[in-house]
Amino acid sequence: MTLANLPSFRHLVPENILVLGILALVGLSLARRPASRRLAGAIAFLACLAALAATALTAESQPRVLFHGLLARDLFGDFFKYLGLVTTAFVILVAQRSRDAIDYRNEDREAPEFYALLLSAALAVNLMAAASDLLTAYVGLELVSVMSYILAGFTPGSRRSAEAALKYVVYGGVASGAMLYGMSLLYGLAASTDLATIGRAAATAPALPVLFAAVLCLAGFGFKIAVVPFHMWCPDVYEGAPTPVTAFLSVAPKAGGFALLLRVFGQISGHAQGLADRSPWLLVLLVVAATTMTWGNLAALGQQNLKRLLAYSSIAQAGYVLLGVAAGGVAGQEAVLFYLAVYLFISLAAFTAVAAVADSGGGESVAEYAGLGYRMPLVAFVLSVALFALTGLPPTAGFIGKYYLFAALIERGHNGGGAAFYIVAVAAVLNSVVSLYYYARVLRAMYIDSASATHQTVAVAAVHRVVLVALTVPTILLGVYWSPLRDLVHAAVGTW
Amino acid sequence: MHQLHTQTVGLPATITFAILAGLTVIGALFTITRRNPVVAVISLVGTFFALAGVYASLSAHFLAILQILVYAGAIMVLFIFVVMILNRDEITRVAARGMVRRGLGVVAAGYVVWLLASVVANSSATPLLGGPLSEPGADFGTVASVGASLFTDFMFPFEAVSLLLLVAVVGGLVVSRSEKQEDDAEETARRRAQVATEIRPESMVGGPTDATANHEAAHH
Repeated sequence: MTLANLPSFRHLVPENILVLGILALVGLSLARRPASRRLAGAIAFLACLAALAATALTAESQPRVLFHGLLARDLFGDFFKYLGLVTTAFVILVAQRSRDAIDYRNEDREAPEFYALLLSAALAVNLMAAASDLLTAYVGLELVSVMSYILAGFTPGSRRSAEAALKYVVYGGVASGAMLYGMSLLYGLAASTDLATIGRAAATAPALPVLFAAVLCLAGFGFKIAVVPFHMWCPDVYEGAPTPVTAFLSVAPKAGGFALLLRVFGQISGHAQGLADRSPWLLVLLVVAATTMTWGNLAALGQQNLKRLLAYSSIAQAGYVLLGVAAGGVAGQEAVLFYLAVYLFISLAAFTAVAAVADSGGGESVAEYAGLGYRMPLVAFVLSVALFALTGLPPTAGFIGKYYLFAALIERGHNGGGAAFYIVAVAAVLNSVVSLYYYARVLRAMYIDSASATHQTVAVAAVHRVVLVALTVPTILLGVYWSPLRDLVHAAVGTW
Repeated sequence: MHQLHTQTVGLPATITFAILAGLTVIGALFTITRRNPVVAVISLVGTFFALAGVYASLSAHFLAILQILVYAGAIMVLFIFVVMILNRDEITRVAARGMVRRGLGVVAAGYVVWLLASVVANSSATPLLGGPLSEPGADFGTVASVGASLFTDFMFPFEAVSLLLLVAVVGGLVVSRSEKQEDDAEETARRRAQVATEIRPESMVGGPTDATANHEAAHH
């Protein structure tokens, strides 16, 4: 059911709330100077919660097509909107006490601008989640990119932050260019930018041009989710960007990128005579995924800076999730959505812990985390749980997420996928073992190598304590009782 | 899928396209190979003009004029200003390190070119590169029809891009603020606060600033 412009707005309430929040924050930055960090944070947080509530309240199991086919409103898109908005809400809270994002010891300068940019990035993730046309997909992707570039360079007077932003812009421009070229080939094949039409045209077109266009599009989406070989920006940006921004980048744009990946390639290769049956497309995805997780894990082994270590770890995690995309089918897609939801809590917890340590004057290197288990017991505990969950150890939610991913891979291998799926599944398990080594290095520093460090307890900001607990509870709870999330994922994948 | 009707292209149109496309590619090559930035920027202007010609030959007249006004005009003037302000005579070339890397680059580039050529050779049967779909209508490419489709069918992306530009401007201002301006603003704010305390001393007692300061002090 395709809706015209005006009736479509009724199904766009969450996005409208976000736009109102952005405009209010831009107005606030003009009205009061220096504007209060708390007021700006409250406006942004409320806009985020209202958008979240509006998404849940206006969700319908019947999929709708809005704006003459430019946007889709279905449970699949709504799921990714939840991911983006929950991430943004947590990041808003963390940023309240992060000097590299908002200089709160110095009159809270630029707080409204920071939050306006963050809400714009959340809005862009919403657009990516709902895009059913190449045009809206590109606008959403570019909006999230531009906001990420600016947020990465937000720390005033920091060379590292400025360098991160510049590297991000240069790599991002190249990736966008390659993707646009791929999109133009798809348009040439189908004479339409509508994804469903492109899917139908791709089924009858020769395989080689479709594969070529798909690989070029993968460059753009792969840049957002940071898979090898489009990952070069990731360690520098994660290290140089303000820590709350790093937390945001590690979850929300990745969720949006995977939403686009599933939607676009679901249309191109999901059909009976799709790309997957007529070309080595699945092999391309498997090789990219296997290289990504292996490269990420091996490069993380030697890292001394914790933000950089987590950046390589997030590259490896993106590789695991891409396995689910390659496995395809209902099982593969459900595994992708499930893992992204679980990864949200784990990754945000890890980066919030880093932000909390930095807020109390600690450094970012692993050596400076020595004795943290005695100085900041809560932070060290949360970081430990997050690292165990990233490895995929039970009883954390990371174990369940990885189980679904690997099971989907084995199932696909069993149902005619061939030996490549089994080989990659074994490689993924071995990779998890490798990752345990560098995560354990952080744990050892925090709890064992503490002889030289002081054991005096250091206070943690209240807002950080709340966020840390709020993120750790689901990480553990979803590891023992995950059926509500599974039902939500099942409903989301079932609608399209 | 419905069959798309393709038309054959006449010889004059093909020759026009070949000339314009050739100029576009030559301009782009000059842009990336000239070491003098001014020459590079002027070559880019040439590319944009040739592209505008391609648009015009596709009956997209309004788009062709916009291309010249916005890209060849406004944006390139901005580029030239930046080049002149930076005042760099020559740009040092980005050197690809080592023969192995250079060789790999050549192989990869050659492979992509070969792949593209085979894509073109493979696809003459499909709408891709098969010729125009149909003769455009009389009002195709006019200001009225572009405006109508921009504000009806494509209203949503239009609004989304407007928002992108708004927040990008805000972000650009925030990122490009200089340390000096910050110090000035800080000085002004401090003076203003001082004046406020001198006039109404009681207003500062227990005010929000004090509460924040105490709160922060408690953490150290």
